[in-house]
Amino acid sequence: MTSALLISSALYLAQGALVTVGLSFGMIAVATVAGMLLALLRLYGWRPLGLLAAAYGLAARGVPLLVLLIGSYFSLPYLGLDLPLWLVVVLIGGLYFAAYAAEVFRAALAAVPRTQWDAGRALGMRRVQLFTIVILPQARRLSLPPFLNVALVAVKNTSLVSAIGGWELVAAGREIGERTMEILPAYLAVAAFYFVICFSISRIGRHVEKKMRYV
Amino acid sequence: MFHRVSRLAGGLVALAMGLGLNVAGAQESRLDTIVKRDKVIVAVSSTARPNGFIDENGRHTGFEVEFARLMAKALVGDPDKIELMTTTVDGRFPAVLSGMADFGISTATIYPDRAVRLAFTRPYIDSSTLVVVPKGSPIKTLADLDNEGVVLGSTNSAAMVDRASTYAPKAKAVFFDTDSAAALALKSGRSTAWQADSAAANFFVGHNGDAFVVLDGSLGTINNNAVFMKPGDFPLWLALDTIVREYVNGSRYGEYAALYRTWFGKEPPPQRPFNQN
Amino acid sequence: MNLAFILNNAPLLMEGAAMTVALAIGALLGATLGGGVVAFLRMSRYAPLRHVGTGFVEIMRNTPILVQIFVLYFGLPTLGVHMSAFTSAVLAMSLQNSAYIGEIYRAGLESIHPRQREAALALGMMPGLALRVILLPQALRRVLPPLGNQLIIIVKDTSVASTIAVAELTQASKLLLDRSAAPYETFATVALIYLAISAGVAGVLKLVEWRYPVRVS
Repeated sequence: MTSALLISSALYLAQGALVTVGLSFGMIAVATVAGMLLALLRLYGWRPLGLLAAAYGLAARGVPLLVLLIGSYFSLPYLGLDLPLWLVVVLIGGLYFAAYAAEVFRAALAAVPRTQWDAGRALGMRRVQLFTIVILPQARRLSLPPFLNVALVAVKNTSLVSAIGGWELVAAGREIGERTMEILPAYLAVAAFYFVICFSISRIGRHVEKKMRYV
Repeated sequence: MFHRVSRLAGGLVALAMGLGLNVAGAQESRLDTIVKRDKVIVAVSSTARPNGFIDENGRHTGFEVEFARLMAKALVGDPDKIELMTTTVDGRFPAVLSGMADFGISTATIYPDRAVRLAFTRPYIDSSTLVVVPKGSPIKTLADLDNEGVVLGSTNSAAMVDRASTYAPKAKAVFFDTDSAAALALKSGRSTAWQADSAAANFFVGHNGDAFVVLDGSLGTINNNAVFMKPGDFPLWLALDTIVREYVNGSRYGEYAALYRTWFGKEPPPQRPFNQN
Repeated sequence: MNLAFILNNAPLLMEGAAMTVALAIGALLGATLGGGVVAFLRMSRYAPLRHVGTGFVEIMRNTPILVQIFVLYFGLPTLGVHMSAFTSAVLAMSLQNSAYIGEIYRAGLESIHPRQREAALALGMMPGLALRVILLPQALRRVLPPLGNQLIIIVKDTSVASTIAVAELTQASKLLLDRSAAPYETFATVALIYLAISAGVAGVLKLVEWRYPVRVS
């Protein structure tokens, strides 16, 4: 491979990496918000709703994301909807990882001792106030390392969009690999790009984690 | 009873997939939609050299992609009035069955089992299968494949799987997701022979100096690759089939032959035996 | 939608499912044990061990399993190490997931205030006993839900083994899809089988959670 070709390949992969970053952020944002809602429903919600949230968690986590993406994206014409691909990926992927995020948040919220609720109430705090000021900051610290796991899995799962006509880092690498029939170097380059993306995310996570040690 | 249960279960599964609804009633043909839209949407591959791939300049090209442009030229008068929907093999059939793409040109072989659920035009190209082995391999002929100790690699497609079990039942067969992975298996010694579409096999051997050789003859029958679409739309099917025929052995044969030479470096099959009556 | 078509191909899918379960069991055991080692390294009081643990976690967690499995399967033979495709797949999944699970264990253990350990030691407990009766039961409660997440991810990660020619459920479904051009029937069936396997794993975890409730009163 000439150096010009190497550079153009690297640029091509970098474009793919940008798409991966964009899709990842969208998915993680949706997963965080929806996951928190699901966790709240399960812990404090009206019981039937809590059970529904639990059932959703089991079903969503049990099914491969590839199947969900293909099933939902190609159903759009039947439903008369015309949504852009990235939006479908962010929504479906986000709701999928919300089920995982919900488990992380549930464990963290529940780990805050009950006595703190009692103490807060004894001080005359309202439920919402108590939750946001007392419980949430403690739970956030507990949930960070496992949440980081979920986020990193989400980043790597963005590669599934190539099945429904999307394009990102792995697709770019595969295109180079199939053109040259040299898939291993192409994949190693893809891994290097992933490493940069994921390492940055885990650095941010570690930094936040250190700041919140032992509340 | 069983049928009712199975139909009910099938219906539930369809509903669960969000695909149980079929738009009912008389519909205009997709052909009218294409003409009105003034653009065709074609499902293609970007990881199947030389059929559909991204070249060194980042351009999506290849025999099938350029053939899709010829189809667009015939349908809407301009080879550039085309939207390429790039999917992996998992997504190519859903892409047309759902109506997201008008039709697909994506290394799809006509296979009797597939014809039940998918409509094919007549073939736009034949595909034959070659076997590649390392130079100096004890496997000298196609007949040598059927031996214990042979590990025959290929992609995971119905035709490859059937050929492996028909022509080399004693060998161990291994199936990979992509041609490049199957090629890597041969290179790294994970397999001792590789069966592949002739274009991919020839490219690989040419690309790797003289480390590998192609065995004489092709393995099994010649298969047909064709344009595929959602069944049930006769006007569209007829238009596509007619256009394919015109390129492959009719009035547009010249353009087809030029395309064929560009990508495969040899002459296509002759237009047809001339029948003088 | 045609259920008879699926039933006709049930043997192919069932063989694939059996292989998926075998891969999953291997990787679940490998990753839950490996995760313990990773957590031990990451929390060690010796800096070199900590660095080894951190390096391992960063490399494993920040690169895709697809690439890791390719390196193990296609790369190692050039160094003279030959493992079967099955072993390579189980090893790759175990290595990557022990990084994830190690972090989950560590988060659980570190979330317990160090004074609890100090108090236990002050009461005359040996460090091992303190870990077993004071720290682990509390950590387990906090660890179970995210651990369940990761174990279910492992079940679905087994599909990556199809890229190195292990005849598991995803490979079977891809073949069936290729032969029949029936994506919806095939994908729906495969999704249900994965769901059943994941539900099995989730069920076992529920039993543990019932013994150690996540919500403490």
